[in-house]
Amino acid sequence: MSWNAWVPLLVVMSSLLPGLIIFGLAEDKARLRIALNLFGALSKLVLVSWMIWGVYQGYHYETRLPLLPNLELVLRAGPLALLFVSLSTILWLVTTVYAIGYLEDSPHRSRFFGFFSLCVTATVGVALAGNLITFLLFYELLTLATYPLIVHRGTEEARQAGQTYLRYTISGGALLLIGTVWLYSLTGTLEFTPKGFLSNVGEQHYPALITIFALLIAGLGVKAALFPLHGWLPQAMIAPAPVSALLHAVAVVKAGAFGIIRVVYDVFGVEFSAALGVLAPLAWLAAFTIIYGSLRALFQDDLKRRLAYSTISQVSYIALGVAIAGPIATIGGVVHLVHQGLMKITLFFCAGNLAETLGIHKISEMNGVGRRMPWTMAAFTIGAFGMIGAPPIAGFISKWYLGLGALNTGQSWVILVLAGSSLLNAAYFLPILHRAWFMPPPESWPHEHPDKHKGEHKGEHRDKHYWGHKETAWALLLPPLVTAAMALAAGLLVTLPFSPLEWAKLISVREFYQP
Amino acid sequence: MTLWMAVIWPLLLSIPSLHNRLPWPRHLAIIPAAVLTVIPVDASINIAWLLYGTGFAIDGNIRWILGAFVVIWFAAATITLPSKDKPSSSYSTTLYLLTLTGSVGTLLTTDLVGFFSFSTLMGYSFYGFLILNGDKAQQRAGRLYLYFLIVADLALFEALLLVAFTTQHFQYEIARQVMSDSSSSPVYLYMVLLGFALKAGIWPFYFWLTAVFNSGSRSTVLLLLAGPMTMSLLGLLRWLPVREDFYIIGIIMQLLGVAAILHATLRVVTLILFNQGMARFSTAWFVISFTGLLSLALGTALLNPFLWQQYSHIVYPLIAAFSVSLSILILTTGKTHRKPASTDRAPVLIINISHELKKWIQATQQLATYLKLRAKTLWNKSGSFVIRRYQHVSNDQKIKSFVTDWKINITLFLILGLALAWLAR
Repeated sequence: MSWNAWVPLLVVMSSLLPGLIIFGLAEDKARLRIALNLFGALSKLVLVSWMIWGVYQGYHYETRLPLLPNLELVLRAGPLALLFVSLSTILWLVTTVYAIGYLEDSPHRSRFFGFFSLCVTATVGVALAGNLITFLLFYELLTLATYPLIVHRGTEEARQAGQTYLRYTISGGALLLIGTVWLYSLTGTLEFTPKGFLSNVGEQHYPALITIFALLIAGLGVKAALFPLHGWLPQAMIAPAPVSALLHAVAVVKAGAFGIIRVVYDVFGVEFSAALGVLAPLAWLAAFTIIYGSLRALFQDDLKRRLAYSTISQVSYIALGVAIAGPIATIGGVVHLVHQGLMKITLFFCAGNLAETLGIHKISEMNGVGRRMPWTMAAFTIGAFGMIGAPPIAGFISKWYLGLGALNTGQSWVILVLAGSSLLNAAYFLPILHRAWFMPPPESWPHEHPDKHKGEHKGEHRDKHYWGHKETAWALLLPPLVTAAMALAAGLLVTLPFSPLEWAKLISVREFYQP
Repeated sequence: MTLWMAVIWPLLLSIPSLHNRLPWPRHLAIIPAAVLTVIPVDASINIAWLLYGTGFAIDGNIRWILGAFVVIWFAAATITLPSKDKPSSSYSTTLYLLTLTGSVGTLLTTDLVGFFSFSTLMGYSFYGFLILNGDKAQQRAGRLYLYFLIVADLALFEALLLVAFTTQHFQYEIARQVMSDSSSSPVYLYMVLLGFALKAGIWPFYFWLTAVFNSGSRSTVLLLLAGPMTMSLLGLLRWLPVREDFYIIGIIMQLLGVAAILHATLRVVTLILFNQGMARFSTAWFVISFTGLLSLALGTALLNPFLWQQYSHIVYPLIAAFSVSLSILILTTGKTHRKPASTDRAPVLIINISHELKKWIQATQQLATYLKLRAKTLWNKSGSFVIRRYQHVSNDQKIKSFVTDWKINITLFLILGLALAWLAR
C-alpha cells in the first residue's frame, strides 16, 4: 500500500490503538492514561490536517481492504468525509480534555477512556467510509462502543437508559442491514458515488428502491433522533457530561445525520431521490421533528433533558436541508452539521460544569448562577443565542442558508417552520439565561464541590472558590470557552477559506454542478 | 482606525475584568465616537472577511446622529456612576457597554447584515440592562420589550432572506433599489415595516415604550433613546424600499402617523389638565408623537418617491435634534415615577398573550402526559401479555429442551445463512 493509502487507516488507528492500551491500564496510572488520550487526539489532528492539505493539493487518499467477495472495506477522504472527520477530531480533543477534568477521582476511568476512544474510532470510520458496508460496520461499532459509556455510572437508571439505547439502536442497525443487503442484491455495488449509483436501475425496481430508502432512513433516523425514533436520547442523558457532549455533538446523532446525507447524495443521488418522491416525506418528517423537539424541550426542568430535546430538534435541520434538495439548502444542512456540533457541545460542557461544580441539574436551581460561574454562563449564553439563530453566531448562518434554500426551491413553508422553531428556541433558552443572570442566587447551591461551607470555612466570603479565583477547574472551564469561541468565529469569519461554510459550498457544488 | 475603535473599544471595555480596573469606563467608551464626531472627515472601511463582507462608514448625515448620541451617552454615564464595590454594578456596566457597542455598530455599519447583527446585540443587551436589579415594573417592561424584540427580529430576518434571494449585495442603497424593483418587494416592505415598528415602538406598537419610560431609570431611558429606539428609526430609513406602487401602504402609514400624533396629544393634554405631573411618562408620548410624524413622512414618501429622494437627508438632523431635546427634557424631569394609572397598562391582549401562551403550554403538557400514560398502559398490557407468553414458553420444559438443543440451533443458523446468501446473490 502507498503512503496515501495508509493515511485514512492511520487516522482510524490513531484512536483505536491508544484506546486498546488504555483498557489494560491500572486505575492509578492516571498520567499514562492522560498522555495516551492526548497523544491519540493530537496525532489524529495532525493526520487529519495532513489529509486536508493533501486533498487541497489534489492528492487522493483511499484505503481498500478485502472484506467479503466483491466487497471491500473502503476508507476514502472526500470533502464531505473530511468535514465530518475534522469536526470529530477537533471536538474529540476538546472533549478529552474536558473528560479528564470531569472524571478526576472517578472510578473506572480506564474503562471509560477505552470505550471513549473506541467511540471516536467508530465515528471517524463512519466519516471516512467509502461504501455502505464500511459505513454499516463502523455504525454498529459505534452502537457497541457507546453503550458502556451510557451505563458508566452503574446505577439502575443508567442501566435502563442503556437498555433503551440498545433496543433502539440495534433495531435501527437491523433495518440498516436489511436495506443494505437488499440494495446490494439489486445493484451489486455499495460504493458511495457522487450523485448516487442508482440512476441506471430499471423502473420495475422503483417500489423496492423506495422501500430500501425507507429502511435506510429508519435505520439512520434512530441515531439521528428523528421522530418517532428519538426516545433513547433523552434517557441517555443519565450518562456523564462528556458522554452527553460526545453523543450529541460529535458521534452518535451526527453519525445518523451524516448517514442520511450519504444515502441521499452518494447512494440515491438528489435528483433520483426527488424523482422517486422520497424527499418530500423526509422533509415533512424533519419539519415535524423540529417543532416536536422544541415543544418537548419547553416542558423540561432537567437541564440536560432540555438540551437533549433541543438536539432532537436541531439535528433535524440537517435532514431538512438535505430533503429540500437544492444547492443552497444543501449548504445549510451540511454546514449545520458543524455549527450544531460546536454550539451543542458548548451547552453540554456548561451543563456538566454546573453539575460537577455546584450540583445543579435542574433549570429551577440555576438562579443567579451567572454570578457564581460567569465564564461558564457566558459560554452558555453564546451557545444559546447561536441555537436561537441570533447573528453573528454560527446558528444564524445555518438558518440563513436553509431559509434561502427553501425560497430557492419554492418551498416557502419551510420558512414558517424555521420561524416557529426560532420562536420556540427563544422560549426555552431565554428563561435559562434570565434565571442565571438576573435572578438572585440562593443561600447555598445544591451540592457545591467540595462542600467548603461546613466547619472550617465559616466567615469566608462565598466567592472564595476551591480552585483559587477560578470558578471551576481549568480542564472544565477551558473547553466550553474554546468551543463557544469557535461557534462565534464560525459565524463572524464565515467567508474565510476553510470555514465550515466554504467547505459546505464546495460539497454542494460537487453534488449539484459537477458532471 | 477610529472607525474600528468606535466599535471595538466599548466591546473590549465590556469585559468585567477590564472595566473594573479603569476609572469611568462608561465615559471612556465614548471617546472614539466623540473623536469621529469632532473630526469633519468622511471615512469608510470595508471588511470583506467579517460576516458576509461588511464595513463601517461615517458621513455628514451619520455624524449628526453620532454627535447627538455622544452627548446623550455622556449624560447617561454621568447621572449614574456605578459603585465598583457591588458586583451587580459591574454587570450593569457590561450590559451598558454592550448596548453602546451595538448602537455604534448599527449606526456605522454599511450593510443590512451588519445592521441586523449589531442591532441584535444592542437589543438583547438593552433588555438585560433594563431588568438588571429592576423592580416588578421594570421586569414587566422588559418582558414586553423582549416579546416585541423577538417578533421584530424574526420579521427582519425574513426580510433579509428576501434580499438575499434577490441580490448578492447587502449595502443599503443597492439593496433598497433592488428590493424596490423586485417582485417580492411588497412582502419585504411589510416585514420591514412590521419589524421596525415593533422595535421603535411606532404607534400602535408603543406599549413597551411607555412601560420602559414609566419604570426605567433616567439612564435607562437615555440609553433607550440613544440606542434601540433611534436606531430602529434609522433602520427604517435605511431598509425601506420606495416605489410608486406602494400607494395603499403609504396611505395607511399616513393614517397611522396622524392617529399617533392625535393620540399622543390627547394623552399629554389629559395628563397636564388632570395635574398628573410632567414625569417621564409624558415624555414617552412625545416620542410616540415624533414617531407618528416620521410615519406620516414615510407614508408621504411612499406616495411620492420623488419627494423622498429630495428631502430624505433632512431626517437625520431632525432625529438628532429630537433625541437631544428629549434627553434634556428627561434629565430635567423629577426622579419620582408617576404611578401608573389603570389606562396606562398595555391592552389586555398583549398581557394575555403571555398568559395564554403559558396556559396553552400547560394544557399541552397535560395532554401529552395523559397520552403518555395511556400509551404506557397499553404498552404495559401488551408487554405483559408478551411476557406471560414468553414465560409460558420458557417455563415449558419441552420447548426449552428443543431450543437449547445444539443441533437445532446449528440447523437454524444454517437456514438463516442460506437465506441471507440467497438474498445477496
